[in-house]
Amino acid sequence: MFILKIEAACKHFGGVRAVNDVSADIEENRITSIIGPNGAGKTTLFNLITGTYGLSGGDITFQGKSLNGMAPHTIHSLGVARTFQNIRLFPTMSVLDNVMIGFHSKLRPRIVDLLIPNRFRYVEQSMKERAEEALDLLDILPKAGLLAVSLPYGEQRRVEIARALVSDPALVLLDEPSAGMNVGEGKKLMQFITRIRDEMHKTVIVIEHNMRVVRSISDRIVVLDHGQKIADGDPEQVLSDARVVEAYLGKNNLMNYAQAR
Amino acid sequence: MRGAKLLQYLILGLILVAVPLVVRSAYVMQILIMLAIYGILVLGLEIILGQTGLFSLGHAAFYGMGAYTSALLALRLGWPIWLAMIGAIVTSALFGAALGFPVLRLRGDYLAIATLGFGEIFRMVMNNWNSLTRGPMGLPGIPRPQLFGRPFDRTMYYYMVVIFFFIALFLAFHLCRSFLGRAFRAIRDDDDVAEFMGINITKYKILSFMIGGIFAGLAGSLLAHYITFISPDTFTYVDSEMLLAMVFLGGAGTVIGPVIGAVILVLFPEIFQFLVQWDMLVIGVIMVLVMIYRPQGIWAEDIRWPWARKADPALAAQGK
Repeated sequence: MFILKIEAACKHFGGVRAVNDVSADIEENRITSIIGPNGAGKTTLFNLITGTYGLSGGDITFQGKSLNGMAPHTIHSLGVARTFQNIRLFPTMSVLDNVMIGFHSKLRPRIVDLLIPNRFRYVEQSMKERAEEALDLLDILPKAGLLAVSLPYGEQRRVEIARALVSDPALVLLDEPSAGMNVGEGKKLMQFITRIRDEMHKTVIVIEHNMRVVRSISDRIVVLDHGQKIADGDPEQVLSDARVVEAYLGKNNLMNYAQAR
Repeated sequence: MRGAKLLQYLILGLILVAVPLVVRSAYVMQILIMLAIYGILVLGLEIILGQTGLFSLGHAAFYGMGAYTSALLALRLGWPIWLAMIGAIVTSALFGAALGFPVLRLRGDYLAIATLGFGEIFRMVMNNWNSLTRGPMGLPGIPRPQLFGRPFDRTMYYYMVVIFFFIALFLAFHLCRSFLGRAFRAIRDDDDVAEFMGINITKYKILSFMIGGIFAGLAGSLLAHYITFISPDTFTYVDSEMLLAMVFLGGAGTVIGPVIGAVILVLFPEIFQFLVQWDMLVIGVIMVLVMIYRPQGIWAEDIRWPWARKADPALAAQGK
């Protein structure tokens, strides 16, 4: 069962083809990694899925609905949540408030709820409970009251993941989740990502540069280079693909280097 | 702890009730009434600017909208004042929404310029629509509210505006502590991310303008029925600027801060009357100094009272 279908997706910025004719069908309850050198269009693809900008061509459908032209908040309410490559927490808000925001659209509070004490208590209480659950999952509940930006880098990443998971999305997009984490944190994160799949039964798409992480958690790897898909398949097969090695190491450079010696 | 807080409120309430019984000066009462009106007004701007981060230079226009609507409904259509007040609040809220729609795509400086334009358009229309507003001659003879056939005297009016002020303060606090305030602050901090997290930023920005408009409309209506004369000069760009200064001086993003800013900037020219026309200069210097040494405003969240115990960062993050 495919949860997300990317069909010939294109995004051009002027003459730059950031994403060019990329197709991929994402299977439900799997971890798919998107890898590729810097500037390959990985984050642009995430931005297309979450509605930052419209497609220049092609289509992206989530659970049978086309996401093209939808506002980001609508896409979020359908069940697509994401984290960011550069951590983007709300800087003036506490960890708990940051995560509570993620649950806002799920609850859809109305303005009149402000004026009905029972409703108000219910809304606030359920937001808080859900946020605390999500923080607990990522082992940062004790820091709930702190300002989000006062946490160390690795913990901020975990707050971001909690903020994405709190709305119980069917599809989670993680943009370089292990960046800035030390080895121990990275290991724990890998285990956690597999838990998202196995225990929470969610589909995960990860952009990741750390090959050890990619190899150990991925059910499937999609490789992008210069905005195009150059490989797609199970990890061992993809990582030994000559084109992938070339994209990462630069075949010509290597040969030039060898010749110069 | 709860008891102590209740006691504080009780004492504050008693003082406020006792003021007109002790103070006999009409001048002081007038300042107190103006303080309460400015307090309500600035709370509206706090929600737009301080909470949602929308830089509005046209807040005086909402204020004027409330004042003119209320005055015209009472004068021209003979509406009872309480109804006129509701009319003023509704009109200002609608204008907030009307302003919200076209300017939503604008950010930062551009939004500021657009709202500035809105303020100027309002003033020009009031100035030139002679048949309705009598233009620069203003609207005299706006009725005072009545109770049992007797018009409100200054003391009654004082009680009324103080009650309205505390209702507005309570609502502002309640709103800022709620999911709505949280959504507003998320938009202020990073509107792109807020949208990715499922916040409909268009809706909430319009809502923010509408709520700000409601507060300003109420303040405008209270002003019109108190001084009984309004003209376009009462609601100029300078007033918008002054309101902005109040919010920043007191501390944008805190609810109490802007009210304190309003108290300071309303009282200052009255206390320092001997400065004559130099008072604006001194206010300017004070503003510059505050912005250099305490850019977050006087009443920011990290304020350390000398008598307070060691600041707990966990509490500091939660406290509003």
